[in-house]
Amino acid sequence: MNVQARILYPLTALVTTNTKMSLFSRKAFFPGLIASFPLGLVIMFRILWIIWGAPSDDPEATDAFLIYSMLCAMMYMQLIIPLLSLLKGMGTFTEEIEEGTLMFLRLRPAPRSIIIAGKFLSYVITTTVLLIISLWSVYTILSTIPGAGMFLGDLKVLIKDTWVLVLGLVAYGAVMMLIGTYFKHRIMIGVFVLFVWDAWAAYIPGSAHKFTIKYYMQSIFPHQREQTIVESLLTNNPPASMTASIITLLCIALVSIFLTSLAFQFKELSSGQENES
Amino acid sequence: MAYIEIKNLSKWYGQVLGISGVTARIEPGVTGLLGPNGAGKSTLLKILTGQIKADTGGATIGGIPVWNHIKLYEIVGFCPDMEKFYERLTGLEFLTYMARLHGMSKSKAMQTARDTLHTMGLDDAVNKRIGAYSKGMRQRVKFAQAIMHDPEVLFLDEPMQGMDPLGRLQTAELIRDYGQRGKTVVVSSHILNEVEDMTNTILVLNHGQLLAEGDVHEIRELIDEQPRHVRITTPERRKLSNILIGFPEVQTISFEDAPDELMVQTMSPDAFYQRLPDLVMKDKITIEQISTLDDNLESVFDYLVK
Repeated sequence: MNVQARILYPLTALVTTNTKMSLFSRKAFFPGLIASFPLGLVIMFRILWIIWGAPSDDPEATDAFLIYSMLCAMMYMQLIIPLLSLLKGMGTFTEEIEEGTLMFLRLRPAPRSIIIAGKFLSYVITTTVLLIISLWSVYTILSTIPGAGMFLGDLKVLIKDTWVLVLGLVAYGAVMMLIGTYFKHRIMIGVFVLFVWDAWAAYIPGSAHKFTIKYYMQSIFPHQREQTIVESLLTNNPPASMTASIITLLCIALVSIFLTSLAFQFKELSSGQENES
Repeated sequence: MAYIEIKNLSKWYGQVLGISGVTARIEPGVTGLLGPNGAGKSTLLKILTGQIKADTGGATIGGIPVWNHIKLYEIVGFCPDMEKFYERLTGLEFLTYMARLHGMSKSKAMQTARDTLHTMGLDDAVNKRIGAYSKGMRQRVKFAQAIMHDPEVLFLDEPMQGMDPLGRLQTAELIRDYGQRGKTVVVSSHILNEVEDMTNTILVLNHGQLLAEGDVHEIRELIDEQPRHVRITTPERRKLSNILIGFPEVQTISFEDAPDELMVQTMSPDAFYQRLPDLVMKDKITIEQISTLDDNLESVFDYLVK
């Protein structure tokens, strides 16, 4: 088999078929609901504004960019991206085991790493589509707030936010896929990694923060949550450089994908063993 | 032509035995893998298709070790006994997807998928979602994904399950044809007649061990040497037993726990069955149900073990 037949055809088939199955099915409902949560909030906020007028006379409280920035830092960064990776990233591979369809992939001569890469790319595309719909709609709606003209023109911010968040989806998703493949209590471990370790490691003195994805994402994310005095005293960690952050996040993803393909190659992942006959 | 070499294969699932010390050589042609439920047939097929790793021993197909060699899947096709699918894909989409994983271009994959669905008699269901398929159709599409790349070696785990009589006939014909074309086909089943329709060569597994291998007729003769048990349900069992006791082919008659059942032991079931309708007509005895208890492999294996 040539390279095209060995890599390209299986890869495109995996990406297109899995993306279609993920996006246009009931499987997209919960991730879609999660991704559109900030959008729902913004729509509600905007409708109420139109009906009852500006919520405050304070121009800062009605600053479109500040609202957007806060949503990015609090919602997308800390909640939406980790939750999407937990829901969709973890299921990238384990879904095939649980649904008993893994065998159909396993019995094909396509390289295992290509199968994993194809499925992972499909996860990235699916979650990116959900993220873009939500984030860009939020941006558009907020830009209709009176006096948000400058904000509307600054599309560079939106584009940067998008790729940083997608990078987060890649890194978190790959780690979740790895956890899903290797651990029995994967949801528990995934929740611990995302919402305990990643969220609180920055408060541990020393270099623990360097072993979190959040640290590298925050280093390149333009929006930061305002910290309390205690928080800023405890987490006085200098940010990593942009290059180091991007490289580290990509490395985390690549290593996780590699380790997942090893499991696919060497682990017995046959489903339905209880029905042995 | 690829043959299968199995050497001392054993597999345990914790404390539960999968298969133990199985050694065999399977030549091109159709081979039936017979055994009751839990005999280890699926375990053996999963090992031979590289899905699970044997604890001891090994196996090769055409010289290629079965564990962890993706090259193997260029020449192997597998039809599992499980009922799992990508329910939202149509038959055509599913097979095209699988064909592309075999390195086919999109157009070639689609053509191959269409041709295979046609071979399996699924032309009308090409664009129907698999989730809406009947059990028989699902069985056919499962079979289709195993043969679409024209493999040298084909493993079929209970391929006829859920198929209608016509589907069974067509599938049996397809399997025979595969064997005649010099391909190696291993068909697992717990129904002797089903396998007899396709091949004479069988491997018999029970409790994870290879009990017998060779000609199916030898097994059939072994069965014929054993008395058969026929259970008859009738409201007139005393009257019927008095008549049956005079039959030369009847060895013993016993009453079952149920008030309308009796058990007949016979060495010549064919002769017994021939005579029974006349009796019903002549003496006007109502017979509600007749079932032959020994016509399953469990009893064959019991005979073989004895």
